[in-house]
Amino acid sequence: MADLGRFALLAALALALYALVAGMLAGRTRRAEIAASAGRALGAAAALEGVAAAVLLVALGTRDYTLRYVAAHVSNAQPLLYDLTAFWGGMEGSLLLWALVLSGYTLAALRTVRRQRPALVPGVAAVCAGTSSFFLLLLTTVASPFATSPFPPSDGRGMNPLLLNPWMAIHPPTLYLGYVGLTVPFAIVCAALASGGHDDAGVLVARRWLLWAWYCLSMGLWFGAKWSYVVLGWGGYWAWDPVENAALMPWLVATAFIHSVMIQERREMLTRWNVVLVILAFGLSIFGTFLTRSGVLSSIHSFTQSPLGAYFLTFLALALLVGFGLAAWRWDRLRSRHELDAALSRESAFVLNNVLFLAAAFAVFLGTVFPVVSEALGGRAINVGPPFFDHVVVPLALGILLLMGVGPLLAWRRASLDHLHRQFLAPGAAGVLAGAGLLGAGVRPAGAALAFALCAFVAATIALEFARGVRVRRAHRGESAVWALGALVLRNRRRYGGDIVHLGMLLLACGIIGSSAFATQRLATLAPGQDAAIGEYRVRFDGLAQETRGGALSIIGRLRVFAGTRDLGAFEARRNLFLRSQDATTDVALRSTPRDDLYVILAGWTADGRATLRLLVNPMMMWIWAGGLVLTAGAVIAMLPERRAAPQVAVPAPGVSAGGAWSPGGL
Amino acid sequence: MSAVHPGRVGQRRHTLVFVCGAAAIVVALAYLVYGGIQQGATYWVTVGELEQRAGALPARVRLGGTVAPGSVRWDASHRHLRFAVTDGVHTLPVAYAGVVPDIFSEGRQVVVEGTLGRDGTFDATTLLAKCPTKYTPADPASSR
Repeated sequence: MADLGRFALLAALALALYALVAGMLAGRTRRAEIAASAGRALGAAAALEGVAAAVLLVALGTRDYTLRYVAAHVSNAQPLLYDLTAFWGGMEGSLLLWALVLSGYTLAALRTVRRQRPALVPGVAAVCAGTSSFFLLLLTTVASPFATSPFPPSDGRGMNPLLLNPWMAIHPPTLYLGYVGLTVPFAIVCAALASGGHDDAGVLVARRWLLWAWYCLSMGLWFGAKWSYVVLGWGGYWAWDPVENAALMPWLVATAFIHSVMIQERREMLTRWNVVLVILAFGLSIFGTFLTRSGVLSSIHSFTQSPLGAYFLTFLALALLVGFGLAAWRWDRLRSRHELDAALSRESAFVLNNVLFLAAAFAVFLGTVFPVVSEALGGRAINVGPPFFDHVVVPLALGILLLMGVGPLLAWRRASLDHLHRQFLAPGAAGVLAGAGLLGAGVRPAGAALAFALCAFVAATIALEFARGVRVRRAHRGESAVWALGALVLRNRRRYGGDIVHLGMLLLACGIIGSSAFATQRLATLAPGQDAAIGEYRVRFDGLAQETRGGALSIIGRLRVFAGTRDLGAFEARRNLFLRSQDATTDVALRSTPRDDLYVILAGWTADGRATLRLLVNPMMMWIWAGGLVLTAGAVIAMLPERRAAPQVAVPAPGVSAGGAWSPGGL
Repeated sequence: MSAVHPGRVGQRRHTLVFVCGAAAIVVALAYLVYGGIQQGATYWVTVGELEQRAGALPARVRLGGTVAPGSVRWDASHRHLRFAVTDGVHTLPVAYAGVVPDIFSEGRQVVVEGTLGRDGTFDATTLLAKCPTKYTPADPASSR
């Protein structure tokens, strides 16, 4: 079986290399049959990767411990579902997943590109094949999932119990869908630059792919935060860990692109900038995979000691060289047709938003690689922790939040002061009222109250957008308000999908502000029957219990929670001790309401039955999770194909609204 | 190429405004980054380095190493944790009170942040443990 898997990967590598050469040759000679041959080779490579993946899945499912990978990530006691998710629980398997997802994307991309821009097919095939070749090279040399051991153990080591969680089962594949999805825009842009004759540099074709990758990255980050909150038992959801930053950086760059591409569509400006963003996003996705899979950021020395690190950095350098090299070669052709008309316009708001997003991405990058850079420059590794990120990223995020409210109110090309006055009066008043109200109600720190006021301002601008659209529809067609709202969103999916995504981000921002500014915690050691108060809650400790389940001994702190005199019911805070592996996991007692979360960790216990509890009240956590759901709704609406999609891609006429026939809000 | 629009002078003025704005943002970012580094920077050290050059290092450092087997002690109420961090040669006692990561256990790699006390105990305010499956250590013997 293992031989079949190994053979399939080797054959896939050969086919991918062939497709790389054939694609480049087809691009040079412009012969369609060579390009078709490259496409067929990629199809066959995808099938072979599918075979390899099936072999690995069967081996994981049947617990075939002759494979080292299976022995390392599966154990007899592990539930079958998690045996299968062990596919992406380790490095080799997740690289195989990368290659497999890339092949799927490649085939889909070739189909759509063949329809929209046939001239780009050879280039897309070549770039995708090149990236595939790299991952297949890793899979057949330094990171083979099919390595066997001559003396297979009778039981495997299994995954770390922390990973045995539904959120962790879906978090990596979602994130990978995003990372890998950034390859396709890169391939399209490289193909357009190489073949020439595409004044948009392929950016407009790449947009939809990048949007999808952006959405997957968002969801991946969201699932990861949820996992961290529910499973890791430290009360937080984001720790500026290098692995988290690895996913945040491409997300920031992709978010910048989603905004700036609109300017290219409408005004044929910023083409160069968008090309750079696509290349950067791809580079960061490779960098992120590398970080997640090697964790080498503590020291520069481990860079050179890990064979994987050298491979990844070489590929990254090569990819950036190709991308930026092609961009430099066509630089003059990508000149903007128009220039900024006025400093006060929607375009300049978008440009500023892009600068802020890139500044945030740069700050995160700098903080993440700081130990390595400082060691290379000064000989000593210096770490910058969460204080650095909070200090740098929070002001940038607030600036972005402000622009989220201001941008949609500004007219394209040139905003008049009179117009601005009308636009900003109501939302501005809402913001000021909210701020004054919160400060008057004694909300401190004042910074948090002001941040909420900013959120209120942005929410008012979004509400106003919807209200205007609904009013216009009702006036023209006499529809009911609900019907008009639904029709409005569905007929202008990109615009209102974007607004809904903004609403989701706003909920997320409120959740982050609330939970980081107003969280309280305390530690209490209680005997049975005693209680501890935190916030409005009173937690009574009702004694310890024990239970063995799935190879783990669980110590259970039985709790009863009261709010005032109201009984909120029984809760359990557990600590699970895995006897074989010295691992321990925490199951927190969690009660969520839109107002706040009560989060209780069983920190310790004594022989005489007392327990030490860590009690936290995290306000507005639910808003973060709700924000993710709203963001999903908005992204799905924005990604649904428009009914009149075709003319948009072909020749974007300057100044013509791609939205609806009517244009409220100074469009 | 902007023959479509009259008034190139005005446009140049806008470009100037834009360039000035970009410069202001870059300066602001540099200022933010500088402040952030001032706030958040801590040195990475190994146990051996900390013992030899304690005086030459800033008070607050990040210490990396392995939890010495058999050294983990909790107090009765499980509030305070004591253990020893070793780099294979030198060993240093650590005291910590706070959230202990689930993956913390003897023999695992940890990073503690804090200060070295007069009595030779490292007072840690942060305790991070490396997740063995998420981070595949490149070379466990020499990582720090």
